[in-house]
Amino acid sequence: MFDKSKKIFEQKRVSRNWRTLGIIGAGRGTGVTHLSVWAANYLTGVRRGRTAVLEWNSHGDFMRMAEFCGSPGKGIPYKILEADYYAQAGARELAECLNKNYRYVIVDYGEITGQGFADCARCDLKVIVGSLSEWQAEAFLKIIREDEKRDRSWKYAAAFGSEETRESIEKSYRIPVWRIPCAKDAFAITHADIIFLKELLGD
Amino acid sequence: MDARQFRKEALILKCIRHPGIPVVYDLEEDEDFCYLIEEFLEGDSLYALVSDMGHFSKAMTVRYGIQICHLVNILHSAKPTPILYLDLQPRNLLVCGNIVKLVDFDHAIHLDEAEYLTKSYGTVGCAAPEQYTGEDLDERTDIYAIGAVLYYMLTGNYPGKTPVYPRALVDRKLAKVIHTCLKEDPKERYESAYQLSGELECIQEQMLKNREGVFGEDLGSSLTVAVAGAFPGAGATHIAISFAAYLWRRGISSLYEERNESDAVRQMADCAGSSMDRYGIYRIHGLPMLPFYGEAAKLEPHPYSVVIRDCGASLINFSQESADGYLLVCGSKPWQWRCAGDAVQFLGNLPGMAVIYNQFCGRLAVRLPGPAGETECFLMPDSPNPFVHPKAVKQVYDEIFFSLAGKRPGGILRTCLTKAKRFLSRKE
Repeated sequence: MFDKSKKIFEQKRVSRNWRTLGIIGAGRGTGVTHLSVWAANYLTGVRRGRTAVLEWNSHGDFMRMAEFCGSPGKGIPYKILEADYYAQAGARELAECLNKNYRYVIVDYGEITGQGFADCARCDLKVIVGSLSEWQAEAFLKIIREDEKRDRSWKYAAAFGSEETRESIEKSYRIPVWRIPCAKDAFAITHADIIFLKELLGD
Repeated sequence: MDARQFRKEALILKCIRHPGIPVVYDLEEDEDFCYLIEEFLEGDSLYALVSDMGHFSKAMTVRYGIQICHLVNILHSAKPTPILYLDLQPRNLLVCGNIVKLVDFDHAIHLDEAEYLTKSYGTVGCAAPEQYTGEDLDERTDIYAIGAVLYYMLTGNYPGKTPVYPRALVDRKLAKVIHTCLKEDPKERYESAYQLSGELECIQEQMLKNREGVFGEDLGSSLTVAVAGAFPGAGATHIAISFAAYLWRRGISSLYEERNESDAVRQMADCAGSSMDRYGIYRIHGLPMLPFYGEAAKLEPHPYSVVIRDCGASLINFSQESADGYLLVCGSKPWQWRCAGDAVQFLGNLPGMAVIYNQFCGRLAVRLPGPAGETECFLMPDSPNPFVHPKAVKQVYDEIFFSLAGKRPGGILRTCLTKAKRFLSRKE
């Protein structure tokens, strides 16, 4: 009895103790940046942990967001609500964030590339975002098929595509594929968002 | 349950429209199952709340009792034929916010069907004697169940054949009301839920007059109280939780709101295994507690009328809070007096501010340096558990609440402290 409860406690502790979250997409336009920003707002707004979001890809989304929000300048992190955003970041910025007192560090790796995938694997928690739309599902399936030995720190999620496809992937490959719910505003965390993100990121 | 019964439940619910009774949207059937699509209600059952708290206070029991009577009265007044609920029990009563809602109508019948009833169901502990013997059922069958629920709320147990009323929990009038509901002979019970509700309302009025329960809606409407500590560790969180829990147990729709980064609510929720509702509120030992959320969190505004805001030890945030009353928690030990003085000086003349000297020791009390001017002072005895309130602590909270709600005629403790201050000033 004692051992069992201890085991449960250990499992809970492991899921709560992650610090780095890597989010990578199986193709362009799958919603990696949206999920990164959304998760950052959840972690700061609801979990009250100081959070940094790093754009470790060349898409330039964070630079455009910085311009839109009137950021202080190139290379300087900027703050939106309570999260810090690092545009065009890399290993140096990640090391810098890990040395600072951030409770959570989210890395937006963009779409999967050889090196990006290896870098993402170093994070405590990894989310592969795919699309189940007919014209994008193959890229997602390719990633799932490539390595069947990924541990539970890898999570698969999809915002688009049919529910039937998602269920059939879950059945065929015996892996959970999380359905990312529609969140119009990544900067506003509602009760429904909290329920989903709490499950996905562990609590 | 067969499809016929299911349809009957849907039809009964369809003919009643009341905020305390769930709305039926649709009834669906397929080859194997029937589906009743009802309004989603979010709350805790009376059973869960009583299990968590042990039992309710007298004020809370009376408050919820009146609401239950109103719900049952609506069923009994249904036209053209009254409805008998016949399974009133704590698990079928949900507390949503501070409103009691009645669910699960699968045993409900129309009064004219009662005489043709071949089998009768009910819950052991709450079912009336005639439900066991197969005698005629009528409105008074539900009155018995209301009595059983009142007894359960007050004591945490179901009434046996001879209910025992612990002196510390029940006063004579309330015991008499419950006793009348639980009479074995239906003719000796109250005639209607309306009559019973009237009796409970009389008790509530009497309690208000005697200041036994500070639970009147008029006293508790939209009151926000900010609480802060003069220094970290002064006990602001403890006092804020304890005060909110006290008001909650008195039957006031109160909420503890965390306005600091201590993360105390989430830690407590983790320990208690509590999960948040759509307002982002956790219920811990029955008390609604709102953790501190950042700007990104967009949750529904809560329905609570009295809010106790815990500002931690940040006097700047405390002074900037828009509240009806301010409670500054200070230490009462000699080595903490300077902090208290500095905090009072920093805050200046914050309107509606009172000082609580926490964990005061009787022998030191008369030497407390009491803040200057019109600031009220309260001496709070030590109480290790914020969810349990010894008599002396209750008295102080009553004083504070009446002072904040502007209904306080003057208190013994305040008089004592004023005398002590006068004595000190003469000595100087």
